[in-house]
Amino acid sequence: MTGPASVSVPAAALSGRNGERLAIVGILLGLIIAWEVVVRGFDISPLIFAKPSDIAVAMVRGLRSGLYWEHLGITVLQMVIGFMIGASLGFALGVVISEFGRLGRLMFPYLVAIQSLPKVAVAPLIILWFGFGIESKIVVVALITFFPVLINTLSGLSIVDAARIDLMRIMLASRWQTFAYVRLPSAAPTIFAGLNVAVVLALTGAIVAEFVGAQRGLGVLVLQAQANLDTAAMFVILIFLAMIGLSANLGVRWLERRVIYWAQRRESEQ
Amino acid sequence: MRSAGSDESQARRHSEGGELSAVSPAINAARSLLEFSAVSHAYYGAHGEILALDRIDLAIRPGEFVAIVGSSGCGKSTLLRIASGLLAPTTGAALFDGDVVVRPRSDVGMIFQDAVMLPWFTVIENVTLPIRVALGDLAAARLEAARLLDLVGLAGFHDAAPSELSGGMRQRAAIVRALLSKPRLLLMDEPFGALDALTREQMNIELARIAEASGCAVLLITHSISEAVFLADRTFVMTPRPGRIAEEIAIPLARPRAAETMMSPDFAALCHRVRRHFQSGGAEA
Repeated sequence: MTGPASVSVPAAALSGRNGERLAIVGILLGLIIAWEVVVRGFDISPLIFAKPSDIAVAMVRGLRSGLYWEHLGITVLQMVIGFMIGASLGFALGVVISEFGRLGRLMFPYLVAIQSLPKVAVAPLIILWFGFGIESKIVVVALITFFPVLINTLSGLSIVDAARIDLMRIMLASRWQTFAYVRLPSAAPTIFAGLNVAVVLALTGAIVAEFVGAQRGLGVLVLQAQANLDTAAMFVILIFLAMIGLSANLGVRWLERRVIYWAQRRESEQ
Repeated sequence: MRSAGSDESQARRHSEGGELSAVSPAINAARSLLEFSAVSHAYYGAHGEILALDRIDLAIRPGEFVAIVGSSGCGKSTLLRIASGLLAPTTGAALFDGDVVVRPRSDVGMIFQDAVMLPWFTVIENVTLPIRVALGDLAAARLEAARLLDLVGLAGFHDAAPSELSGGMRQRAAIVRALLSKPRLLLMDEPFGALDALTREQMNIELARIAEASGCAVLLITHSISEAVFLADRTFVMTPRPGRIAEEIAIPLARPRAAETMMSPDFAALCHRVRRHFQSGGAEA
């Protein structure tokens, strides 16, 4: 944890995009150094606040021993499978409800009632039903990601550009063609906004479900580290979680740019 | 696909066309392509029932260019929606080829005030969309679309995003889209209303050329007097609230029409004749 190299960056390099990136890295390094200095300087107990150097050591040791990989893999797997199931079901039900208006009106009060319920509170019940294995975590993640995707699919599909619908009617388009060529692409940006929210919730859901009852996963490791008063290990896991969350978010955004290429195009012109 | 009747009217359009002035709206139903028969339309607004259209009788022959001029809110767009089958009239009926129009038809095209290009498709994908929707021959349609796009000055923009086009270019693409299905009637709802005056005049000259070449009948809704007179074989003046036909004016100007047409004294006289209906304001020159 030496090297104030970041301080000696020439000012000219700080202009423009690259400079901005360098500045962001510089701020991070600065914060880490300040953290190290403060913990050392004020002699704070390692039980309360671990030094960045201790965290780095714990991380390297854990990764070498292979301890973290298995748990990290389990958590990511639960999150990804749960997200895919929850998002697919949310999207599918959103389409069904918006296409069959009467069914939607009948179901809507129930959906609102379930949506206002904090899903993590249901986690103990789900663990009771599905056990301590990976299945119960997938169900919790699916449940927590289902609603933002459902609600955003519904609201996206409810945006109807009358002129575009008239155009499809003039072309004698079928219901399916109107959906595929106009309604779904019109709704896509709103649906992706829902996916962006859902992917963050997916990680929360996986960790909380692991807190409630699990044998493996990063949530279990956090609890173990807490029991062992191993603050450095807890920070290591938090770093992993931040990185998983960030990658998932970037992944969805990457997909969004691919799928909604026309929005990107419009943006870059302005 | 053109009937003998439309060929005949096509020939007439290219002649000096003076005999057109004798035609009355009570036209022989068998010869008309589109006919409004006592069409009335009412809707419920904030202050009760509003009569938008009051017993409109009007007939369009195959290949004929008819313009309806009226101030904003006179119900002329409603009339066009009834003709297209997008809207059912309260009473009366629109007849196409003698059949009551109850839904849109594949041989009637429509051009909206906004070009309505879908941003997720390229220009040529937008233009060929009606063929794709109708499950027609997409490869042939693309070739024909490419030819037509080149013809209206959109060469080099086939694979562009609609947002890369100006308003006038988008509207030209919309015209190509409507013509690609080879309609017998083209309904145009203030197609150049959103364009600036210079582009609009240029588009009028192009539309005159396209309509004369394609031979399909056109019903144009506009609030521009000069546009109606320049393009149409017959112009109807509509009064607002309730929408009624105030006068039918034959436009016996020579075809093909071009920029010079607008400088002739006959053109000015015809514009003046239409303008008299709007002395208290409303339509623009």
